[in-house]
Amino acid sequence: VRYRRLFHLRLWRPALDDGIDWEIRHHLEERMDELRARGMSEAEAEREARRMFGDEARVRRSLRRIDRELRAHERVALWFGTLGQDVRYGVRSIVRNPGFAAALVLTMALGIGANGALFSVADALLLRPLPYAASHELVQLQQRQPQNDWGQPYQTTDFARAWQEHQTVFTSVLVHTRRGGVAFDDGPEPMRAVVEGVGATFHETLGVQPRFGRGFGAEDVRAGAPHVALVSWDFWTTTLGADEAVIGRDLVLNGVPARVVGVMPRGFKFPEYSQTDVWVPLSEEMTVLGGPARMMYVVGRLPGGDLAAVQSAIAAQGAAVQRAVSPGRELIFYGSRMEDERARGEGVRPAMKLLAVAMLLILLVAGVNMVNLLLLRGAARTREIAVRLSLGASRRRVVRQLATEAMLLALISGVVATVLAFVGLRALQAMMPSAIVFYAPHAIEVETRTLLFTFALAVGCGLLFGLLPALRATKLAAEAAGGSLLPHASAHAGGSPRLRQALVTSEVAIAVTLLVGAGLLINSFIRLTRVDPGLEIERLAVLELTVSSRHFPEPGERADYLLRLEQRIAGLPGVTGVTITGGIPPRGGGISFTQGLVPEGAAPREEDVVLPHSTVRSDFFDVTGTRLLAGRAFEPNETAASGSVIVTQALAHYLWPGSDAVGRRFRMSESSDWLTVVGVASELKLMGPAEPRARFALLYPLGSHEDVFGAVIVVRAAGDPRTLLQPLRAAVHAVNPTQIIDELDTARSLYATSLDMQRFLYVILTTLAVLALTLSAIGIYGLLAYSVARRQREIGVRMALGARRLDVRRLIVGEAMIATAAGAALGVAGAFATARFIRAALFGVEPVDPVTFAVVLAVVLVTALLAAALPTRRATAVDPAVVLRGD
Amino acid sequence: MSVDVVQGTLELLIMKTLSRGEAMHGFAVLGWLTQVTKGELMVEEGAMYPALHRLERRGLLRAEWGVSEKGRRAKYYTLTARGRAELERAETQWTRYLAAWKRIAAAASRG
Repeated sequence: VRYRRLFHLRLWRPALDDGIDWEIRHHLEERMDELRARGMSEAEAEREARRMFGDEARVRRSLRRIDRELRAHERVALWFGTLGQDVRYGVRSIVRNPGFAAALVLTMALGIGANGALFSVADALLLRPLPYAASHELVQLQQRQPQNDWGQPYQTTDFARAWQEHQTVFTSVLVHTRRGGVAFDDGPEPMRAVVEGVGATFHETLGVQPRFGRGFGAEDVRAGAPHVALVSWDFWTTTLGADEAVIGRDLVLNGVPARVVGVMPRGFKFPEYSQTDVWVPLSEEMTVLGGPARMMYVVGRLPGGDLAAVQSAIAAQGAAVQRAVSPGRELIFYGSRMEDERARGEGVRPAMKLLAVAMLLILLVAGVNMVNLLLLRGAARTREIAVRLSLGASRRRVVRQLATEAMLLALISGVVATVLAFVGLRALQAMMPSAIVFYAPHAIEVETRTLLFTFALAVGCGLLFGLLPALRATKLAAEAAGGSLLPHASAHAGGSPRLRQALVTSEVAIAVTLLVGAGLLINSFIRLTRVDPGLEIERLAVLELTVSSRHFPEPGERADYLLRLEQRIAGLPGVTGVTITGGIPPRGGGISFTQGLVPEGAAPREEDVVLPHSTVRSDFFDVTGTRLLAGRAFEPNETAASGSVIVTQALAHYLWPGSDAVGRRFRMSESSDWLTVVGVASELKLMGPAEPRARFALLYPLGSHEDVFGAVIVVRAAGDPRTLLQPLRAAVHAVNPTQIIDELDTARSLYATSLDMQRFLYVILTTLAVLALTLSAIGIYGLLAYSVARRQREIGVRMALGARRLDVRRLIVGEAMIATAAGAALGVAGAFATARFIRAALFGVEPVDPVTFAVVLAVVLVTALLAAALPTRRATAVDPAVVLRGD
Repeated sequence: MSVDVVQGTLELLIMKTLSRGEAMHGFAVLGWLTQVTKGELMVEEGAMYPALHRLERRGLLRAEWGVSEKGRRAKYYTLTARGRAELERAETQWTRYLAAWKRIAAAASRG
């Protein structure tokens, strides 16, 4: 018997159980035909057919099971099949409209790329775990005095050693201490290496082993042990030439040869807020570090990292050890997680927060622009979509196609954004304040996590900003398909005027918020640069150097050495004065934290005061140009022991309002020694202009040079101090070829570096604000251009009925102004809402600064009018006769 | 006297039947097998359909609904490209197995 298929229905597919029924029924019917042909009755044939078939229920069950799996396979295959179709459709559609695609990709790539670049910084600074094993388990031991609410992370050496012996909280404790720069002799000119002394548990506590060679052990810290050193990967590759033979070689540190035993792995940084080149074992003598350290840092490993559970044990054991080590000096001890302590200092965290908010806003503008562009594109395609819908494509399917297209565009944006993130990070790095690099536990670069972040962002934007226009376009097209396919049906497909206006409004709002932020930062930066540092920085050069206590162990030798240096410098042509001091703005000499100054004969002030101080010689005022307003300068032989001090005018007013300060006494606290004011100086911004708490300054006499280790030599130039820099270097090396120069620059240039963070912030924020403004100008232009095109007939009719050009102009500009005004109002509200992020970065300006707001609103208004100019011209050029005839 | 289908070879028989290129429904496959073996081979009817569906699930057969010349809805099966390749592989194996069997049988009967 032969059967031939006559035709089949591709689209007809019975439901699962139906199919099985049909198939079995077909079999039985065929069999019955056969049996009847052999002469059986209907009933007999049916009985026999069923008997021959066997257990029908069992067959049915097994068919159902097999088919269910089959359908599941099919569904997956179908999904991927149509995905391929959607992608092909999307690619075709993108290629057909390269201009649209380019505009969208550029907008999104700018938004995503800017975020990618900042993410690299934030990731290295704050997000990625510290470069140690299970870094969340590492705890820093802190101490504070009972009357203070601020703690210090360092301990006396005696306490640190004893704590290490007696504590039971941590499984492993590491003590470490740093000694700034250390002379490192290798090559023609002496260099400076940053050296950290670490205990024998260096590797055990941190869980990091050297990349090459061996680590430190207990034998390395024993008295009389040979000097050894570990070097950082960067130091090894840049200074030591990346040669593995370096292991076993001697590095001469501070004049002491130390044998290199290993190289730490790439990316290892310890402490994480440092640029440490070399680690040496903390032996009893600490020869390489130039003698025993008084203070040490203590890090412990707490398995599991549940710090709250052990705080009371830390406090109790700390107090017990303290009682044993220095009885009578009570301190409070506690732990803080190393991960929480990172990047605390120099305004790094508030700056990152501010930038994160700005980046989020710029991403939002880009997203809104994407929605806007896609809506317009949907409008242009309403007919195409309507045709597809009426030909039987489901709405879901069309939405999927449009969303796939948006996703493709977002992914392309992701690729372009990655490139922009690279470029953007380069640009950021060119002006990045050194504080950010210093505090970042990792090198700041575009790496895998940045790429993942960038693409996640691209996909997120594709989903978020691509779906809405797709839904909208198909909804309107479905309505159009239900009615007619006349072009008028698509009049509102570009988003209703209200929706598009809302989008433009939000763009303007974000631009205003960013512009206000940028304006406030610029404003405060200008104020900062206008602050008088208190000395004639245009005329001064600054030379900082560390006097080696190893080369000049005797105090007399050090004083003599500095004298020889000073004489040599004073003899240089173009030098009109030289003085040695403990520090000048913006770094100062040191800071005292007081809990209320005590003027003689008056009640102590109930106020915490931050008091920056420095030490100066008798010739300080003549050389620097700082003015002495009352009293006298120090005598050449006056020492700190004399108790004489010079205060700034503001401090004098604070201590004795309205009366003369010279000759009067005050002290830092009830238990401190009395200080006698011998002179009052003009304002001196020892900590730079940006430190708001440091209103005052205090000067002590630098009587002798015997105790000067870190010398700041200030040189007054007859002309431009820049011409002195090279002669100064030569002069120092003529006196001592092994002297390391820590700093050599003009005072102006050093002072400017104290504003690096502020400059960085305002430049970035201004760039982003201008970008946002440009995008919203494009948005306004798009809104009006579209609206003019749509309302040609209406305009034509109005003009035919006697409307003048001015009226038409008012109509179009009015539309722009509604969106702009609403956006500006929202933007002002946004600026209020984000005020707390920016407050920390401001100087002398309130977050609600009327002048800044006024300027920003004027800028936005002018931009909106400019964006409206072209569409308005097009509207007034409408010829009523042409428009009406065309109908 | 007839023989049962050897365990696991029903699917091979179906594929071989469909390898002639014609789309067939289950009853036709069964009919063709019975016809060419002159009723020698006993195919259990209830086992036929699960075998067909399994082959479809494995992508070796493709099924489509159609209407037979008697005007009945029926499910038609054809061999896919993958099915053809699989059949070839299985046939080679069977041929070699049978050749080996013959040699063994011959050797055994020689004693």
